[in-house]
Amino acid sequence: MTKATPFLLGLLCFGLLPLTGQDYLIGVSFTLLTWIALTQSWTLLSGFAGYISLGHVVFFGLGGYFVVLTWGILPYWISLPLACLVTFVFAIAISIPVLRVSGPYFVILTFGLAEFVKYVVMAVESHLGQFGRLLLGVPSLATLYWLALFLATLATLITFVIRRSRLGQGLIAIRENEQAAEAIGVPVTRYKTIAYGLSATIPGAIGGLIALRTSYFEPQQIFDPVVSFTVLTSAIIGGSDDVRGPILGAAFLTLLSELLWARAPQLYLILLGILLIVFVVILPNGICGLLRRRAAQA
Amino acid sequence: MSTFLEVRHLGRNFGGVRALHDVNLTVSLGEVVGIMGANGAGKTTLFALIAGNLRPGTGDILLDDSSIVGLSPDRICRRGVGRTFQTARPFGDLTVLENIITAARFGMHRLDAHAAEKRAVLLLDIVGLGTRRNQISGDLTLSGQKRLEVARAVATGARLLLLDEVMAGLTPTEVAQMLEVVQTLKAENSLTILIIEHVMRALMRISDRILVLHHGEAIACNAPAEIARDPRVLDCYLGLHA
Repeated sequence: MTKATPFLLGLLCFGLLPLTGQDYLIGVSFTLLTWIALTQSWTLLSGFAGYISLGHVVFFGLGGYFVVLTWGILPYWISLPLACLVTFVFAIAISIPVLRVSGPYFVILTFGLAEFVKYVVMAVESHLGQFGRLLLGVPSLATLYWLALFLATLATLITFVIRRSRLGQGLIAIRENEQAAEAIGVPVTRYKTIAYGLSATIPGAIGGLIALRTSYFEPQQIFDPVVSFTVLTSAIIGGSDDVRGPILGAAFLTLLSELLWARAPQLYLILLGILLIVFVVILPNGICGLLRRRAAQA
Repeated sequence: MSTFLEVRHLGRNFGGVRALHDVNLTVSLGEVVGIMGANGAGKTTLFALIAGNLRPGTGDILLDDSSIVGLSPDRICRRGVGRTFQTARPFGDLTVLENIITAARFGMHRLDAHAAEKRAVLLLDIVGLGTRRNQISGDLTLSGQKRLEVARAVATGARLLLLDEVMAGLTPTEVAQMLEVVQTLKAENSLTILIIEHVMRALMRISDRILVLHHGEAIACNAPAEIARDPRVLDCYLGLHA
């Protein structure tokens, strides 16, 4: 059994799932796949380079907004890739000021930026006389599911390939010590910019998928900071230094959410906070970090 | 021997504080130049200027006859300058081996993963960390972290090595081991070395020449034996002529 076997088995299970014909199961799996894609993309900058973003929702929201604005003009198979391009270009454009700061300032800046964009979109929508947009004729759940599976697989592959590449090694060196990384020849500014651009790409399409899934758009909903918190918590629980981490973290949180939403939905956010504290204090590198450290000590 | 590094009229101020003023230094290929001076004399500032972490206010720095002023630290590293830091900065969550592999994959030669690992194993054996290659580097002792830093700087393919107090805080036995490590690395990698050190016995032993800085100015640059009886140095260090 190779290291890839669990991934291939997982992929096979997700591939066979639509055959069950159970909408609930497909819906939950769709949600799980979108969280996996979002968390994997977050990992590229925040996990590898250690620039913790609390504003990942900005790319998700902008992608969603783009798909909503072009709904009825462009088919989704064009608007979704374009949404990726829009968020990539947006990230590269803002990377120069944003990546000049680090540590807690970067966390605050990314959070503030997401909120800023949310209020700009709200102002634009208000100016246009829109208080929510209804999307008619959206693709079926099965179609959206296949797209989510494709994006989650793509995001996982990108993370996997980058983790093993020179770029990945350079990003990890930046996370460990930026000045020391520069001293060994890592082109710090270029690598951070590439990672930021790449981390923004997949969320653009995921935001579009979520807008199509809910068939309703409201800025407060799609730019909800809870999206960023959930991505961060998934990455911390699973571990963000390993491609398995976002999958484990997203699976854990999706199951938790499904178990709680019907009986005690208010408990979900409280538990999210508790989990975040417990993992940051006890297992800052998540489940995968624990496994790695044990392997190194053995 | 041909000139490898040339520092011309180098100066740098921090606000109203003159950290370095009109420093000149010529280093030949394969030479070991020690740098000594009291705290605040400008030793680490000189390293930061050569490594590109700071830009000089005045003067020029030539490596192999071409100016490196204004280049970013990573580009200077790719030109063949490796450095250690006064306080060891290992990539703490990575293993000892991963630290060195990372340096070998960047730096001057940008080795592929296989060649980088081969080079890393070799270097770790030289610095005496071969048996600890799979240990998390943050868990190493101070002596281990200092040796790791030296190996990491050499792994970049450096031709000029800037060693910033790599023996500070070590026991006499560890200092002797570090001296041996530096001399072996120098011999096997044809290195030119600038070394800042407060452990005077070690500095005297390893250096071909010693540059003495005092309040940001170079007051002497000569063979160790000459430096030991230079009246200006004795005056600054011991106040003998005060």
